[in-house]
Amino acid sequence: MQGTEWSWIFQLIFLGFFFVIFFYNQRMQAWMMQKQIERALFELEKMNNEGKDILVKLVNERGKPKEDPRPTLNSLMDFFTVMPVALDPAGIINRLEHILDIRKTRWEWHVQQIAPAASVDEASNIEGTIEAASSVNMVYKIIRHYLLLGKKTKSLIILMQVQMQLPLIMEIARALFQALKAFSDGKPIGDGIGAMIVSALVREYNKKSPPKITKGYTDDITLMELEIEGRNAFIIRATGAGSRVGKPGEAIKKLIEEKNGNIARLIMIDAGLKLEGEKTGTIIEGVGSVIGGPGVEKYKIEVSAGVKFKLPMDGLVIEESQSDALGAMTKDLVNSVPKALKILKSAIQTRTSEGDNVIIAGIGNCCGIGD
Amino acid sequence: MSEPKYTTSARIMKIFAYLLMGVGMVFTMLGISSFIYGGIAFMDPVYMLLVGLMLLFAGVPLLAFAQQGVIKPEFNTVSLVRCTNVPDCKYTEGRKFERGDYVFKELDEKCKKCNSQLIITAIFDVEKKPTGEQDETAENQEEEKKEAELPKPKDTKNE
Repeated sequence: MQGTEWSWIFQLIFLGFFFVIFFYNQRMQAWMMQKQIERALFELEKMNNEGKDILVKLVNERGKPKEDPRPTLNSLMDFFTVMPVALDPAGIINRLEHILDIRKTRWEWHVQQIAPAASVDEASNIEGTIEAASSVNMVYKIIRHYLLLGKKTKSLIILMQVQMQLPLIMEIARALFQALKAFSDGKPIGDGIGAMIVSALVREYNKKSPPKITKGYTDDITLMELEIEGRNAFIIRATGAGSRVGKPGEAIKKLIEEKNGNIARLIMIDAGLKLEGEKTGTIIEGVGSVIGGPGVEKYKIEVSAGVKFKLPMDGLVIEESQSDALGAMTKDLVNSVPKALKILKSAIQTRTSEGDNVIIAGIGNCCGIGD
Repeated sequence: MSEPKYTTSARIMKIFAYLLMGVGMVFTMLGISSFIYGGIAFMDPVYMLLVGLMLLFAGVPLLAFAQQGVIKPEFNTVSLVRCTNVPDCKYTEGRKFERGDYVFKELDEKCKKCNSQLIITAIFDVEKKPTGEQDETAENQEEEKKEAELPKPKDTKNE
């Protein structure tokens, strides 16, 4: 064949290529994105199934159910909670608290039904495991929904939105799966670092001043009263060693009201999300109500300690990633405990006077962390 | 978000795939240009094009295969046991986590050194290191040691 004939063939191939790219570019892009989402969905499905297996095994082992727990567990996987209407925001916190309370009561009842032989701490851990499994299940279902919707409508925009957020979504899903495994084994998770720090503080001073311990001060909250550096310290944290967060806001509010606002300072310690590039276990200081969650507890602290009694509120945040917070505790976080204690003691010594009443609240999930 | 770690074979495969695709690209370009601007002596342009395309297509699945060689980190959970008779006794022991262990749990057994109460002071995950890889914690400790050894600023008041 002559060179000119070949060049014709190449011209045609080029035109064909141009035609395909011009008209089917989006389809090809959509196909590639679809394949990426399918791969992620496969991993999510694996996590979801494995999570359910872990859960069923845990309930059977610890709870000794009389009947097969799977139907109840399956219904709990899709359990929903309708958030209060925000069109009329007045009193929304009280309505939200009520909904969260009835949800908690309902879950506890279900866990009692499927795991009658489980101890109080084991029941809390089962509850935490169900919650984590339900979250993994929700992520799986949402991704599947958008994949199928994108395929059905052949919409690039739907697939593109999911594909672009996929790395972050998968990180959250993996973190939730880690949490599921940690709760099922009763291991401490990164979120519990605040509670661990305050308990370590109590243990440092308990020989000099044996603490007065009040379990169940408010819902799932333990109060420890002792003397630290000549100050009357009131330590608040969720009751361990089960997976509980309790209502620290309610406890702080109750304590401040009991003392008629005679509190010199409120110091809160919690885990906080770090920014990329920051080291896990870094301790940062600030002011305000250092507590996460839906906002009910934060509101109570801000209103009681802040607005009503104008108390100074200090915060100590232990920085960690989402996977650190939900997964089993890491060595970096454990290494931050002595550093946090040093900062905490310095805050007590420098910002309060001898004889003052100080509230120190360790916020977080107390799974695997005893009082 | 941490970068995924690849196995050595996956890394080699990845480099090899890029190499194949690069060579394939060169062959394809040479093949096309030799049709348009005249032949290159060492090979028939059609073969050149075919070889180029084959190498290009061979590189793609190889690259996809290499992507699967991501090392999934595995962890051991350690319960750190300490003697309560501090600071007199510094007995510390790392044990494999067992179900039922929790932080601040007082153990039934006594300290081997001073017969005091033992307690779990921490439970944490430690990444399993592949054999031959240097321990990161040891590296960090070295760095911390070096930092501590740095000369402190002189007290100007005394001078």
